Amino acid sequence: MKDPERLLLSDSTNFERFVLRAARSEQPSPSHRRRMRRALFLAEFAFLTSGVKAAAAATANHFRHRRHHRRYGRWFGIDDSDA
Amino acid sequence: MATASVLGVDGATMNPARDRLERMFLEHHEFIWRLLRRLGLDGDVAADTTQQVFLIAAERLGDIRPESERAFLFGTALRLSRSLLRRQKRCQLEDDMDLRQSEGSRQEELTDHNRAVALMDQILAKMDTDLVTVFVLFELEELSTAKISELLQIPLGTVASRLRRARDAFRTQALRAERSLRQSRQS
Repeated sequence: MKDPERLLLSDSTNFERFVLRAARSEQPSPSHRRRMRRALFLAEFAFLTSGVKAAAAATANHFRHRRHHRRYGRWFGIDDSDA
Repeated sequence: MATASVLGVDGATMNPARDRLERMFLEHHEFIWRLLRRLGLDGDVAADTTQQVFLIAAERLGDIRPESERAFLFGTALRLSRSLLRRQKRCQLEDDMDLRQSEGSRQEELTDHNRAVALMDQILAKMDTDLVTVFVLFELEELSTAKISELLQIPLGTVASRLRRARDAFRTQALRAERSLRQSRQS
């Protein structure tokens, strides 16, 4: 079965194209990327200390808070200068 | 962002699991984030949930079959978003998503792009979640119907019918949104 043509390329209205294009090109913010880097750092921490994965997940939640960012960020040697 | 290492560690790593996770992140995190946004989560919540998706992936890396990383991440994101949205709905106050109401002061500050994204969110919020999922995967992420069928684990015919209904619903809501926007500009 052949797929239909995408709306954006077919007979969509200007308004439909306006919202479709914007939604397609939306990207996460730089702060999102930074948070993801931290999350992956924690994932690595979980690998190194396998068996305490739940602890790593819990630590990730703590990392969301600035206070813990400052405290544990230094402890784990995370470069927070771009935050 | 440097693509060499997400974790900011120079050189090759000795940990294949971490390398795999990093590869998954580089290839799929924007897709997952956008999907969560279109399913109705706002920017910050989508970011937190994306993080959670990858943490779950990290914990269950051994269970994820090679070549099915995207499906795993997608399924996890979908489950988390559904549970979050259910919770949100329970707490939601009266919100008729009136476009005229959200125009006015706030919209003036937004760029055209942000306004278009906000309009899209409002349109999708009025559609059924199952339809939105298929619509987003096909129209925005440009996956084939076969791939969508595989990801959602539903028959190809169901994907096709949901896509048809989703397009109808999208066009109806888009038309309403456009009219509402014009009315608010005239008044």
